Amino acid sequence: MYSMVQAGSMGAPFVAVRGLLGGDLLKHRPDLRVVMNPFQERDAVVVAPPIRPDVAVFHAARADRLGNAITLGERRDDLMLARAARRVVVTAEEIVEKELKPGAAGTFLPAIDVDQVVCVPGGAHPAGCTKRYGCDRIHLGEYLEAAKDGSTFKAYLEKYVFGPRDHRAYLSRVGFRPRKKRGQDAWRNPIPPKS
Amino acid sequence: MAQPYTPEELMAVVISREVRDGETIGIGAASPVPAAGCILAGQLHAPRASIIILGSEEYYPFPAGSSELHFMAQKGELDLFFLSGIQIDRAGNINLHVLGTYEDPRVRLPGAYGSAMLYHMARRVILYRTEHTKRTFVEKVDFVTAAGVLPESASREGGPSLVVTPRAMLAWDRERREWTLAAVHPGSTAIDVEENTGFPLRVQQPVSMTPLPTRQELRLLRTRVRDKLRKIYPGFVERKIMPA
Repeated sequence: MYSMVQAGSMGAPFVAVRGLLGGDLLKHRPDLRVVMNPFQERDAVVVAPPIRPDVAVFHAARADRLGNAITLGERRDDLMLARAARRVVVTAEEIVEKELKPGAAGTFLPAIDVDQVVCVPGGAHPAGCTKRYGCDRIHLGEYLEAAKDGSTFKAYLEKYVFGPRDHRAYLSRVGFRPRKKRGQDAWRNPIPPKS
Repeated sequence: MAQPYTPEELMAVVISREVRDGETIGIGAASPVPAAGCILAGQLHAPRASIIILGSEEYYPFPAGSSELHFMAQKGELDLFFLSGIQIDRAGNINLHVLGTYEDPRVRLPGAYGSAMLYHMARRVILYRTEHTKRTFVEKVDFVTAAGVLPESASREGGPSLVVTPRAMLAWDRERREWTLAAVHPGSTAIDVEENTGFPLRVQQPVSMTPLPTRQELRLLRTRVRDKLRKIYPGFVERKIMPA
């Protein structure tokens, strides 16, 4: 997967990967094929096409109006995925007026790789957003329970996805309390955010 | 008879004894038992081991993300890696994909996540499983996520070296292509292990017994290792590693 996304980010026509030989995945995945290494004797390798997602969505702590964004945590793999995708949408906790520059903390997504920015506070829910809010474990528990069965999952989707008329209604349904001070956003079951 | 340690503590101690000083060791996400074992080894006989734990700050040297560990392994630079399997079979195959058929599975599991590469590119792979039962150790896995033996055309052999469970340690014999009973843990017997393994094991007499965890091993595990591990796996530490 990494290799296929990386190939997508590089514009490479396909990628050779190690391992997988002898496994059942090769029987079920027509996109994974075995070829002989043209540069080395007796070396069967799996080749795979690049992955170019139509859309990649990232949730950022901050973005500016040009499209520069900072996602929290050291995950520069995000950049690889952004470059593999044909369209990149960033949702952000806040949009700042001052132009963002590559800095020390977090991962910088430059405007050249970003197509759209949307201001979505609380947008990582039910996962957490570093330094702002922790994950909502009660909600995750509810999701896990609902996902066991088709009809309960449908009810879940109705309640949280199709039911609320907009993001604000969603936040109110899940009990999000907007922060007064940074790092104090909370769900009804506040878990301290990772610092 | 109740043991003065948890099965996970015993497995961590057994794993720690297999770690060699100076090795570069990779530990994937959600692998608290090997993480505990490797940190313990680092405190004891392997202070120069490079321990890389996905999801840890202290033990993750790369700035970007999990792709760096993945690609490091693909270069053949990992000496040791740990994998588990919902099923492990007689031929050294592991299954992390489905129970039942692939088209209509009874249970869908998270999938390989790189293990089909890591199983062959790490110099040694130690498998671990927190239960030793016939539903885990099967004649043939439902789905081969990573193969124990590679086709002749592959340039690299790879595959398993050991499997550690709460009952025993099995060793993979590359020549014979079969599992042998390497050691039986305290509280278990060779018969007990054989009765809970779904395929014949090669057992050499006399059967080796795993030495009991020493007071020093348990003390370090429950103090320094516990403190370090708590930052990565707080829930596991609370439930499985006793306080000192």
